[in-house]
Amino acid sequence: MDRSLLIVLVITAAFIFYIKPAREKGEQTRMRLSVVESQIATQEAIKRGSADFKKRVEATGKTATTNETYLYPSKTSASLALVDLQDFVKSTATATKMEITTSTWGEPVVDGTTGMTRIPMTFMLKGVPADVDQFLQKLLYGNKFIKIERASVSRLQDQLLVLNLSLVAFKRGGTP
Amino acid sequence: MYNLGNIAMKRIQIIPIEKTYLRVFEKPPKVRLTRQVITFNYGALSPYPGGGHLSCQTATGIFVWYLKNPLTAGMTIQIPEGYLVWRFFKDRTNALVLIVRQGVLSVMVIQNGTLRAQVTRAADEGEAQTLDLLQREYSLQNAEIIRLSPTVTFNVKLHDMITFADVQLKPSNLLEQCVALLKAPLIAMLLITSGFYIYQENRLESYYADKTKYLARLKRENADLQSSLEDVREKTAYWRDFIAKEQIYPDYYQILSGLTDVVKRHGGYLNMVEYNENRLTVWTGIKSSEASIIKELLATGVFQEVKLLASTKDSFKPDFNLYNLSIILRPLSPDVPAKVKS
Repeated sequence: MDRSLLIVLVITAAFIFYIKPAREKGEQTRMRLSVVESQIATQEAIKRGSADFKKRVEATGKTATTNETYLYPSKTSASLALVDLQDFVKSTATATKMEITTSTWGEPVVDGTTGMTRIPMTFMLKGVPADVDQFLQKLLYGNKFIKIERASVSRLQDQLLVLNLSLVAFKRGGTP
Repeated sequence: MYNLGNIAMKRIQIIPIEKTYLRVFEKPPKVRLTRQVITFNYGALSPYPGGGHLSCQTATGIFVWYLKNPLTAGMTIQIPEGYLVWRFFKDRTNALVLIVRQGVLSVMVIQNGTLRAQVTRAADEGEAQTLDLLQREYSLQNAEIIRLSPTVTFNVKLHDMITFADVQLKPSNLLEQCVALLKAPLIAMLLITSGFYIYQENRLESYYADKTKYLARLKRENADLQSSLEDVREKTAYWRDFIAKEQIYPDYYQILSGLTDVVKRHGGYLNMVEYNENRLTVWTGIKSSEASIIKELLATGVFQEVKLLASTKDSFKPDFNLYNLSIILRPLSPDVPAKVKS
């Protein structure tokens, strides 16, 4: 009887000190396994759709490259960006027979959200309605992304309009 | 496979009739004596010195079977065969149940369904006289004589076991008795469970290792694509944020074109247009009503809201009404082409 009791006690002890931890370890292994299996499913989906992914990567790459061309690059200083912006507005005005009466440089500011430098300028111009139309079209649909933030158009004489523009261009990077 | 029924049956011992001596005692109704009290009152009346006894009780009687041997220690439940015979023939009014075994005749006397006596004597000593004597002794009218085979057995029911089980707890023996009863199934269960867990754990670890290797291989194969994909996600998110901040509304050219087209269609003119963030303030002169120009402005899709702030007659052009309008711009929908794309 004592021997039986001893055997039962030994096996019970083994169960408590070895099997129970082993079972808990098994539970952990099962959890890790479910994570690995979900990662495998993701990787297999990527592999299966590799052709589509490549197309998407290419399309996004092209869009991003095109978008980048609308901005002043990060290596261009903010001052040079202002000069270039002013030259662009002047040449556009000349090409569309608009007359710039005043131009004012704004203070470049780094945008905390996008990390870009905003290049602001204000202009006062004069011209007839058809020229204003041409000017705005060339200005906004040119090589750079220019955003008009505030503006006013008022009639100076019968066909002559005065255009006040506060516009902003964008430069990559946060170094003014 | 262990069967609990078998285990229980191995722990039951039926004491043959011929090895017991029955005495029936009367007791007041509704009084139930404990096993200890029965032992105290009637245990010493045994004809077998040193022998044990088994007992049960009904509403009016106490039945004590004295045994030649002491009771077996441990978990064994001992049941007198005489009790089983009585239980089996309890529905008979008057009966004498006979069983001859190893040259000994045992007779159970049942009167009105109650066990009255148990007689044992040598089989060759005038059976007929014995039966006659018993019928007269107990006034048995039309007693049924029932002869049982020497090898007869009776099923033991749970109630029988409960009646004769010694449920008195002895903590010192309890663990020992439990171990004796459960050691084999417990050892088997523990060994099987342990083996199962060890096997399962090894199998699971091996399966996990295989899956991890497979994942590593897939990651290596998809490394370039994965890197490109993350780059794409990053770029898309970047431009989406930029657009959400800087390209919410139509550009100024679209706004002005939309406005002038409508005014021209109405043969009107614009005196002044002010633009700030998402709002236009317009002074325009037209011949038609303000309702028609508001409807057309909203129909362009560029403007979300148009409010008339003031209206007056143009003093220089009497046919025209001068309207001061406040216009809210409609945000760009994602499917409208814009300069910067995500």
